[in-house]
Amino acid sequence: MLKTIIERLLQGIVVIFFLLTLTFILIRMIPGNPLTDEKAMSPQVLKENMKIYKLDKSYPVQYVYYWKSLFQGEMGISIKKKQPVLKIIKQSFPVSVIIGICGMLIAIGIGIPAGIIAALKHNSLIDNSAMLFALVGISIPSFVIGPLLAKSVATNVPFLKVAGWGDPFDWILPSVTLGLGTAAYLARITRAGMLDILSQDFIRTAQAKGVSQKNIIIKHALKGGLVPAITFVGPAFAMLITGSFVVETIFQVPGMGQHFVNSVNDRDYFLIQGMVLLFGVLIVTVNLAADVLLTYLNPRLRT
Amino acid sequence: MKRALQLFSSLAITFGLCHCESKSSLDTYTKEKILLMGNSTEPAGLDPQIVTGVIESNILRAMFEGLCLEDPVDATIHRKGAAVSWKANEDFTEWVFKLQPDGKWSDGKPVTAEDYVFAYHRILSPGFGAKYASMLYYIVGAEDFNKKNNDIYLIQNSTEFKDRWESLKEVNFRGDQEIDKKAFEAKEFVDLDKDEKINYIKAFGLNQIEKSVLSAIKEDANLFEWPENIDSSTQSAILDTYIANHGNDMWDQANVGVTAVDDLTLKINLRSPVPFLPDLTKHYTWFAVPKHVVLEHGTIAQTNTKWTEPENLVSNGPFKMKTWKFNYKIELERNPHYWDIDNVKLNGIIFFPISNKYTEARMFYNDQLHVTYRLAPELIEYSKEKYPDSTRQETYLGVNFLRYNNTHEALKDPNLRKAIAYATDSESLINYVLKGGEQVATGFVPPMGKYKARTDFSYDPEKAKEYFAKTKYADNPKDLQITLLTVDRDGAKTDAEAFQAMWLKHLGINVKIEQREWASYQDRMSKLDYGIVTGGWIGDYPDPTTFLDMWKKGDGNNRTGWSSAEFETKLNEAAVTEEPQERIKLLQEAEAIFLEDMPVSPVYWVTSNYLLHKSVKNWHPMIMKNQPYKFIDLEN
Repeated sequence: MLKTIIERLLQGIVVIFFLLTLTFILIRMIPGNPLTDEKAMSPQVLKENMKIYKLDKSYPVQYVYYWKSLFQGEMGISIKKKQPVLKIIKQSFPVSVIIGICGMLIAIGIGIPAGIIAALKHNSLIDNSAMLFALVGISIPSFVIGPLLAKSVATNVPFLKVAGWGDPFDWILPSVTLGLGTAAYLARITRAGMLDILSQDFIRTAQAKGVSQKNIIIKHALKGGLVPAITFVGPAFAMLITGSFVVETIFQVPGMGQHFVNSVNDRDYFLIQGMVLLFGVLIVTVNLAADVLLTYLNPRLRT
Repeated sequence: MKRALQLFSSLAITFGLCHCESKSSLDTYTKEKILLMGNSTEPAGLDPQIVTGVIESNILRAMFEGLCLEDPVDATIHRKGAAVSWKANEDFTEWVFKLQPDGKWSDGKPVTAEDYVFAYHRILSPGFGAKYASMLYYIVGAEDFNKKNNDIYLIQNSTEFKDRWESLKEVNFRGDQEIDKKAFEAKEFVDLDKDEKINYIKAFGLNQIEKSVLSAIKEDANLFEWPENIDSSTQSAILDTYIANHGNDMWDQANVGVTAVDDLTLKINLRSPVPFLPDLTKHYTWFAVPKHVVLEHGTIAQTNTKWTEPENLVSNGPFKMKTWKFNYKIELERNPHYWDIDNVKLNGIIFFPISNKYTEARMFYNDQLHVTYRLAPELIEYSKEKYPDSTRQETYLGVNFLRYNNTHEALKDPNLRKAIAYATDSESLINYVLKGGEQVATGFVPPMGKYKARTDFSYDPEKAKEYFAKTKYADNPKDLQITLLTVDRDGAKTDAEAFQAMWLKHLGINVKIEQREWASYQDRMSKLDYGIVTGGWIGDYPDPTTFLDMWKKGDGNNRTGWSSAEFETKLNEAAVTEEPQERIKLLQEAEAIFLEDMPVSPVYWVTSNYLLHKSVKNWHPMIMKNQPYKFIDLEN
């Protein structure tokens, strides 16, 4: 087991290396550069600014500089916002983690029970309505749900704000908006997984042996039935805690999701690299964690 | 979902009963006299000598104070700011500012004339790369110092070469403006082949190249095209001088026209008459920075140092930095050391970087903001109905226009540009598409102060047809291939479609719309890789030159490929004219020439739509929306 984990970690490092390299190349291939501005700079000022950020160097040299500073624990400076990338991440990542965790809890709290119930009451009214809800949840984007919640809920509940950040109440609406879409996916995946397991021979055997329905579900079905859901939860969690552009701009949350979009629009090279690095590390980690959990839940995966 | 919501609500109620005042938070802030402002996005830093935008200006004007201050009501009056008095000589080329005797930085240290000299030295330092350094080019020697025109200091003014200057003039010191310098980006000099090396040195000239390149020329004189009459000993003497002085701060040699006569007296010498200098000093590029703090965190020409970190930032205005949370809020509090603190009404200002305009409006409707940054056109009608006292619609110093690529195969014909311009129905665009109360532009420069807007230009489909008949596409308009380039931001597409429809209707031409995201759009525009683009320009200071100077040949903001010697002559004449009336007249004439050629065509003058809470007092409409915060008050 430990060997597998170490192996996977090493693979992860290789993945991140290629990810950063590819990003480095791609962002330099798109038109415009971080110094592109509405008000034009004279060629001489442009040259000075290129020098400040070492953009006057050739790409290979810039690439070497990038890795050198990365190994020194420096992620560079956001060229557009004139702030160290590390500082930007330090200030915005915790915010996204809060919203992401709350969102995930909501997603799990709604999605998994809904999926299980739907599977158990297969083809019943409950199943159909749960799946209809899930379909609606998947189809309605957060930029519709968000403003609707702000308009209909926040204006009627005294302690909720339509947007803004400050006290823990401000976590509620963004988390709900973020969590609902994931909840819907999760419900469908859980339902499918449960249905698959419930039709297996060992379940039928257990039923034949007279095990109570409750025990069958808890002891036998859940373990296998949740496998697809857990595979989904890992990466989904990484997505949620790295923030969402839409949710953050709707609710004025100072999270990290905006940086993913804005940094690319701004061609803010170092910020893009920083975002990709963080996201890469997270994805590798959560995937590994999900795999470990799956191996534990599913004996067939153990080697 | 409902259950989850109920659960959440009940949970929230249980641990939050003590916290129910948040709904009426605006009242609380009003009582505490803390102004809550929407401010679009996170500023690109808070160093007055680095930033270039309105968002940054909004914050900087609260923290810093220029020599003169805006009057909240009458734009033609200059109030005392960091200067207590000022005087110009007869032809407005020499100004003397007396600083406030009680002027202090927020750390208690006095504001001195030396801080101003330091600030101007800093923004003009070539290695500093300030994008807005050109705002100070009015000062004697400033442009040469900033552009590293070292030939003046190292050669022309030096004892060694002075007498030989006539013959040395021909040397390529300043580089060839015609060579596209983008080709050399991201390439090392050593990696270039010989022809490229020669071209590189030719492009940048001796003033702009690195020490290693200078040494390379010394080794191989063929890399540089020396004029014939310069012998090799002079060549190497010049190169030695350049190598010896490379990277040196040439401030002292440059004799830039800004002097600290004594601690409280600042003298500014200008290269041409500038009667509007007091207006310029209100712009953040002319603000002082605390020399002692900046130097504590780095050298004078160093960018991105820690002096603007919230814990270090020291300023001389009515407010000072309290907290700065990235992308969340910037909170300012009263500066107890401000010279006129007794007349400052507010206790603080909080700026929120709200990038979503609908979110911002929702926050205002829900009593979470005193002022919004803007108001989405779709919400204007609703706001006027529901919040009639809060909905503001004010003239703003800006113009939106169509920019034509004057090097384009078809559009280099002025008749075609005019045909398109006269076929553009600005009024319909404003009434049915924009809906923001904009004004139809009858000239390029918006009306301001003593400068009356021109009225030469108006929508006229008949005239458009006449001009179109003179083009080679008159008989077969379908052959005309032009693209209209726009950004992918909301509204841009609808505007473009409106133009497309107008031109099809009146001229029968079918323009193709291309949408590009912002950076690509800018990139294409600066490379003249377009046919027509929609564009805008917001004035930096209330003088027509902020709208006219950019159309000079080679100006980075021109981006049309158009130039006119006649136009520039008028501008240059205006620049040296002492008589204000005469100056305005010359600028009017310059604008007339510009409109006659129509390298761009004006569409509308900008209107600022925003929401302002009724508790905000002493907030008056201002053409640059630069309300001086010290007079603003909050009262229920």
